[in-house]
Amino acid sequence: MYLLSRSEEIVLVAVWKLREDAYGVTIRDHINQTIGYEWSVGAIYAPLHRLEKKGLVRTKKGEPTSERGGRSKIYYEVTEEGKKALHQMKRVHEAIWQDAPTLGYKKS
Amino acid sequence: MRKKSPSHRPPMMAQWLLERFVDRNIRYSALGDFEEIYARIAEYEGHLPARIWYWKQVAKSFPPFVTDSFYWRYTMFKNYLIVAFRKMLRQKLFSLINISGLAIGMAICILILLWVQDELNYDRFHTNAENIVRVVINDQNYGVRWPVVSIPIGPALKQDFPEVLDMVRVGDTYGLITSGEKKHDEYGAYVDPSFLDIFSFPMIMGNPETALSMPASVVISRELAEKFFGDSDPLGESLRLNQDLDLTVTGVIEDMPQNSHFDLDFLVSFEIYRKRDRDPDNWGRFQIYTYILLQESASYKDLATKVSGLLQQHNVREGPKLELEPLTRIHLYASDGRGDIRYIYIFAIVAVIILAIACINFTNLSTARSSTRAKEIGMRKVIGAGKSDLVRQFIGESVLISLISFACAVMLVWLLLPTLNNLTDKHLTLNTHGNWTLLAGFVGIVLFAGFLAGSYPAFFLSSFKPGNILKSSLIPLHRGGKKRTLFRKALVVSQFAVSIFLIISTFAIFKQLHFIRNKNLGYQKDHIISIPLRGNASQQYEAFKNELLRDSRILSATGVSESPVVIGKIHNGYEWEGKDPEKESRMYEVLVDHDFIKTLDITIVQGRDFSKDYATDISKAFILNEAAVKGMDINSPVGKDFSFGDRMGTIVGIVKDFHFRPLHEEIGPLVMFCVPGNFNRLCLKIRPESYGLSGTLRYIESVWEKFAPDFPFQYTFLDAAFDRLYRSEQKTGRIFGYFTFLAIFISCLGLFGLSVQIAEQRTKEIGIRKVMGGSVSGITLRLTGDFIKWVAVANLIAWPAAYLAVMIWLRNYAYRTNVGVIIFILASAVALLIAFVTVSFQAIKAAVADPVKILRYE
Repeated sequence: MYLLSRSEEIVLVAVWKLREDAYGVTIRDHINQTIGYEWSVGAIYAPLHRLEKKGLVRTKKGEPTSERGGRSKIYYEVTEEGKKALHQMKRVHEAIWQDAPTLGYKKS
Repeated sequence: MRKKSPSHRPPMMAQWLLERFVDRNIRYSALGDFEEIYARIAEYEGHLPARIWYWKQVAKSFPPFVTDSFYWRYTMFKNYLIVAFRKMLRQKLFSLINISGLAIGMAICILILLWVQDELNYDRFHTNAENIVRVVINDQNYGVRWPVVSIPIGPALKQDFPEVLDMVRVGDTYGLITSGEKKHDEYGAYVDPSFLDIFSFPMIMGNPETALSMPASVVISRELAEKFFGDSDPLGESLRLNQDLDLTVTGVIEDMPQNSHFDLDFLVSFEIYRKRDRDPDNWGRFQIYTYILLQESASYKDLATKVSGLLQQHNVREGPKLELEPLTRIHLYASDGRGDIRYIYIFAIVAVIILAIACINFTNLSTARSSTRAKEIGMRKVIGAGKSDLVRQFIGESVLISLISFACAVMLVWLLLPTLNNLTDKHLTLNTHGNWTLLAGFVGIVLFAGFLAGSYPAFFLSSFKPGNILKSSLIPLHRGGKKRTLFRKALVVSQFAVSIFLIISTFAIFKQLHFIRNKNLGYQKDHIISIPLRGNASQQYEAFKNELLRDSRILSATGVSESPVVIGKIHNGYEWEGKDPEKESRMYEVLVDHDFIKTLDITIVQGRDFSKDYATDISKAFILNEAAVKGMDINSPVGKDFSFGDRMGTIVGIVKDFHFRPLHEEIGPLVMFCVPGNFNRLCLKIRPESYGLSGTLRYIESVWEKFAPDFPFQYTFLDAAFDRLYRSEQKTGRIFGYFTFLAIFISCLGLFGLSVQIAEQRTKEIGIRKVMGGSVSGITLRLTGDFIKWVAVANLIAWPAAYLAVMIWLRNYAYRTNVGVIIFILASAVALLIAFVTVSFQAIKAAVADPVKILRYE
């Protein structure tokens, strides 16, 4: 059983979805677009760092680019461990929602 | 492709701030991302919104930064502090031992620091201190350095060498100053007017430019002004020097500070000295001090090579060479300086050693008592403290203890300073105002002690394995402890080795001083009064002497050119029958009266004493000592021709060697001749004190009043004058004695702490032993045996080291005591006894305790 916080979950799924192109900027954009919740740039790094420490994602250095002030992009990708966690998460989510009565229509 | 221009980069300042605030784990990628987003916003919305956005990010990242670092740091610091104080209060005895030991060690360090600083600061208060050098003579004929030179040298240097800006000649004098009814003997000097220019002695009254230009002017110190004129204005008043020179006060200077090598109370124009000298243009008569002021850029060493042969260009015989000596080195390095650089090193080392002994106490006690901290360390590690956090915590704790000790040390210093000032004749104060070196020294002492004491326990304690500690209720006291106890033992051994070393050194110093005081000098120094001859007492010498001898309490009297305790006059150029022309003939000389040898009980080994029966003795007789005869390489010297300059005659007698110089030196060759009327002193042999010393003195004074009422009556006892020669040794010995005592005290504090700890640890063992029938004495021995062994081992280290040090120190003396094994054995016995008493106190307490109570405690 992987214990992940909500923000870790969201970030982990985002990394999974973005596949080859997951790094700070895109992860943030993605989260902003899909959840519609404005995360500050800094807010995604803490969960990312925790995920990395737990071994669920790993980092990969890209080529340095001038628009990043000569720094490399740091790409994130989901590890085997991370995939297991995603599986489990998905199962738990589905299990939790199964047979739940409808909530009715509510504009978010 | 978007074209990049430098303006697309975020503001430097914001970037720099962000770099500091962002957590270091994500710094690299975050900064890159921020910059990319910045570039995007700049591209689509313009620079200003991009900038605003970037600054917003900076502002947002600030609060977490604050909470992360400051808040947690503060919280942990508070926790460390609380834990430290709690520990200190819970273990009162050990805190007391640690703090008092460190406080004493630090107090000694501070005292020595103050003393060293004062010694090093001699003569540095002059504005020109760095550029003033003294001209001295290195006389290769005699192998000595004279601090005095001849009168024409100063002006010649100033005239011929452009790098010499100015010069001043100083002819010091001790004279009687009178004004109306008041008369005082004072030290003063004849100086050139440039004196007040070159040296920085602030003038309170008068004009420094002109004060010394008038030939009959005198500048006096504040003290002298108050002595003679009280509160009234001294300017324009007249003073009389030595009853024959009328002077007008033209200025008053501040009293010369204690850390100046000058101690003069009046200054008179050098012109007077020059005019009175019988041969002022002679380059070969060395009699006055000369200082020169060099240009800022000039090096005194360069000048020294240029002037070294100057004397020989002015018809001075081969031998004496000019040398230069910086003003700031006079006190510690010069032959006439009162300080000694070697003592500075010795005491600095002693200070560090004593502080180290105190630090060892701390190290030992905290490792020995590590069990009391084990649980805490385990807990901290489990919660997430790293090794470095614990190291920081423990070093912090020891720095805290060292800070508390420092506060106590300052109080101790404040209490002890008067004693030290008394011992060293200084006016040291704990005034830190503007004294940055001293403040830096304080900080250094606190940090040095804190780190030295705390580093081993810190690394040792922080390496505990939390698993081991927390798993078993048994604390791993002895597991892997062998190395640790060995380390602890080594520390105790080194503490005691140092203590024993100091005890032996102290004993050796006192033994040598005792040896000096009781050495048979070859002459009688007891019951001899020596008075300086002045005024009519000097001019009517014979009458004065005969008047004194009329009283039966005065057994005999003799005039002499110098006090026989130290005869300083040395001459070359003696001739004798059968002398090898190549031979050196350097001998000390003293002018004596007919009664000299009789009065001082000097033994004649060959020939006879000077006698009034032989009229020619006054002009033709010489008496030599054995050392002179030995150096002359002459058989049956009595009756042989002997001459010095125009005084030609024969050797009439040989005296046994007597110590007319300090015992540091071998007895040198000495020539005595009998020239009545040329004496500076009168030595009186009086009847022993049972006849009433004060009455005798009163009688001598009454005769003095008859002959020289203008001069104050002064006298010294020869044995007191002799003791004064060794005053610095006696002081050093006493200071060393105090230090030794304190070092032993601190070592014992540590030993006591350890013995308490061990007795506590072995309570159960002691209880079982007693139940099984162990006797109190047996158990006591068992507990003390270990410590005694350590102290015994310490002896093995201390003995050879002390032997070496004592031998090196004794090499200063030509006549030295036989060190002997006794002081070594005595020192060891003292150390063992003290250690035994310290330890057995605890051991007996543990051994007599009721075993039932002890064993029931679980």
